[in-house]
Amino acid sequence: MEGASYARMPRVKIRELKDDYMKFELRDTDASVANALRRVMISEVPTVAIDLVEIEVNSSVLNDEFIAHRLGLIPLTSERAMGMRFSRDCDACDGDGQCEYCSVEFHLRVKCMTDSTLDVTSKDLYSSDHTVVPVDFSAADSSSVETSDGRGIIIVKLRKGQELRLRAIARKGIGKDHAKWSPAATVTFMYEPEIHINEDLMESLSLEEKKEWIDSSPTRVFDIDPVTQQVMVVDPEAYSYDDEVIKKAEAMGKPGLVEINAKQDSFIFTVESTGAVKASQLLQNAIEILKQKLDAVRLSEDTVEADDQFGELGAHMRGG
Amino acid sequence: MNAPDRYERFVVPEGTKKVSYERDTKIINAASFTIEREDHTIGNILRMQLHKDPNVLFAGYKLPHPLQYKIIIRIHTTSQSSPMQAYNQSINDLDKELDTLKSGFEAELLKFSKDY
Amino acid sequence: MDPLPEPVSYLCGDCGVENTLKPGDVIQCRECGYRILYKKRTRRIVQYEAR
Repeated sequence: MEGASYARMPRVKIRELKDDYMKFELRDTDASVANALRRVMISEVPTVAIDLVEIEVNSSVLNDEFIAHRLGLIPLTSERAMGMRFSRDCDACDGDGQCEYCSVEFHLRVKCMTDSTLDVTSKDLYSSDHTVVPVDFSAADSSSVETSDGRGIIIVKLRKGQELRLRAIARKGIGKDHAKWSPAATVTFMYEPEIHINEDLMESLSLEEKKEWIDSSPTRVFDIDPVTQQVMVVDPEAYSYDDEVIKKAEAMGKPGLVEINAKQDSFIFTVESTGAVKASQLLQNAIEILKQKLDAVRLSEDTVEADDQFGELGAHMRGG
Repeated sequence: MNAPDRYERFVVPEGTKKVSYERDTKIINAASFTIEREDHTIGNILRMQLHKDPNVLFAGYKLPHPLQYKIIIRIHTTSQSSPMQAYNQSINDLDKELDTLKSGFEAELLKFSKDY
Repeated sequence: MDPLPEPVSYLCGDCGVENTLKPGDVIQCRECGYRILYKKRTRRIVQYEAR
């Protein structure tokens, strides 16, 4: 009883790739798959984040729960997360979720001894596992403005005599549970626009009118060719589906001046990662997670068997 | 204070079936699949994939309530197929699609890192 | 019927000096007379969920 296959053959093309940023085209599939990938990247790809904080000493100006919350939000490198266990279904540790298979321990001990304020940053966190450490942003792009001299993420500032001493447990989790586990800063996709200018109608416009029409777009989609003085599309993807140019054309008495439609099977994705996993890895993990999810919703043997035996009968009985 | 735990949204409670199947009492070749702890991510891709199948007369999904962490997929097929067959087929096809996507992306990644 | 209630030490809100108070004592700093006293932080380790 094997039916015909209706599987599609989607194509991908990477446009731009950095550690924490990726732009790619996804074609020959539909919005449901594009959206599923986006949703999975945001809320179901696992990472590691601090989940439990034991504070020994805290004489800083921030209270314990405030610091615990801030620690939770620090992105940790999570390449290992896909292979890790969730503490809740880890059988190596008896329920406390503190074993090597499902957790990573961190220590922080800082005291300010000088007259100047001391910044306690994510770099002061000492990890028990060198593969799970606070994300280092300074190395990523040292060309741009460095975040506070590449000193990591500030947790708290201490003045003379103040001290912070704690132990933290980081665990595997997903964004659905708490946003701190989300590896995605933003994931967006848009339909690829197809823009057709009605050249004949466009040439009935004066240069002034053309400029006026071009300026009606809030984003720079069109411009005038300096040589031919024709209106040309400079950046179709800058179009934000705002309809402004279409309304403008109508207001100018030139309906149909431009035709714009969204290609229903072509998407342009942008993925920004928090640094927990590389942007390219984030997509790969999302595909893997989505496959696992699909596998989990397959009908179980016993459901099929029960239906084979009693299904028809049961249905008739329930129907009366 | 009395908010349900967040993990309730994605951890299937012990003793609960992930997918349950119920035939329609009146219409033949119509059935509902109740999937525990899933949402629009799975619901919508399955629905759209089912629409590709010409033997599927109707396919829809609903999230009955935002605090009931389950979705219901309803399928009605022609006599050439069955809801169960269509359902399994849609999962297989999506799985295949994701395989293509996966290998396609890996190849693209390799090509991209070589080119730049 | 509590067995001897332990004296608790507090910190003065003004001059910061340590004060030891027993039940029934006037809540006032011995040094400066300031009437706001603060309890000291516990020496125990405290646990928080980072959420």
